[in-house]
Amino acid sequence: MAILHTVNQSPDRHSALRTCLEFLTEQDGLLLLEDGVYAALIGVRSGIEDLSADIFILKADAEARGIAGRLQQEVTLIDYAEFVDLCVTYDKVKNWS
Amino acid sequence: MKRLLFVQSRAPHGSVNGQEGLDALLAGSAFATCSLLLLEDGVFQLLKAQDTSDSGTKNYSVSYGALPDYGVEDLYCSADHLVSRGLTTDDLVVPVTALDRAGISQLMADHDVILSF
Amino acid sequence: MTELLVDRDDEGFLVRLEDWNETVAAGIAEADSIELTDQHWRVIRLARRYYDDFQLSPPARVLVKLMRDEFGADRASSIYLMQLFSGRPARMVNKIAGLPKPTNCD
Repeated sequence: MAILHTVNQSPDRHSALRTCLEFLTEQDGLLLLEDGVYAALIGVRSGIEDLSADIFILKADAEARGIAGRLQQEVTLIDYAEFVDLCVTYDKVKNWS
Repeated sequence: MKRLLFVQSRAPHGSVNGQEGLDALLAGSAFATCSLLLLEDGVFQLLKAQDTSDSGTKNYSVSYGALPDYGVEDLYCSADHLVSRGLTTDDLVVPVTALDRAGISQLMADHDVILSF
Repeated sequence: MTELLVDRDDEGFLVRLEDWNETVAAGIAEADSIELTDQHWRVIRLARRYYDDFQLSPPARVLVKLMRDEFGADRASSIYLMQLFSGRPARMVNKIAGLPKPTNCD
C-alpha cells in the first residue's frame, strides 16, 4: 500500500510537512507543490533531507518562486501531466494542508 | 509626515498577501514615508529568477524594482531569516539591508504605524 | 469615428493587453476626443516601457518623474500632462497605452 503525500504549505509557516513526515513510510511518495516547494531549497533544514521515500516537486511552482535552480539533489521535478500520473500510480493520495 | 513600516511575512504566489502588501505600499507611498521589512518567508518575495509562465500567477517581483520611483528607498530584511533559508542579499532582485534582531526592533520603534501582510 | 474591434471594460480599458497596437491606441484616444501627436506618443511609449519593465501602470507622479528624466524639466509637469491628456492624465495615458488602470492614480 503506497501513498502519495502532497504538501502545499511552507515548512516555516505551517506544521503540514512536519506532520506528514511523522506518518510517511519508505514506500510512500512525497509531492511538494505551491509553497510546499520551499522545503526542498538548498540550505533549508525541513526534514526531507534524510528521507528514503521518493520526493517530487511540481516544476511550475518551483519556477514561479525562483528556486527551480537551487533544489536539493535527491528530488524529481514533474509537470502537471506527471502529477496526474503519480496520483494514479500510487494507491491513494493524502493531502496535507 | 507619518512613517509607515510595511512588513511582508509570507512567500509569494501561495497566497495573495504579498501582492496586497505591495499594492498597499505603493498606495501608501503617495502620502507617507514608507519602508519595507521582509521577515520569515517574506524574504522569498524578492528572490531572483521567479518565472511564472507555467504557474498562472503574476510575477510581481519585478515591481519591487520600481519602488525608488515611488519614493520608497528603505528596504530591510531579517539577516537570520535569510540565512535559515540558505539565502544572501545577493539572491534578491533589489538591494536590501539585512538587519539583526536589535536592528529590527529599532526599525519597528522608529515607525509610527506597522502594517503586516 | 473608427470602430474598435477590441473588448474594453466599462471604463474603456482593454480587456486583453495583447490586443493593443497603434491603431487601437488612436481609436481609444479619438473616442475621448484626443488627437495623438508626437508629444502624446512619447508619453505613451514611456508608459508602455515602464509597464514592460515593472508590471506597473505608472501613476501621475511617476509619469512626471519619468518624463523629467527622459525629456527634461520643461516637458515634465502635471500641467503639461493635463494639457496633453485632459483632467485625469495618468488614467488616460494608461488607457490609450493599453495598460491596466493605475490603482492609485491622480
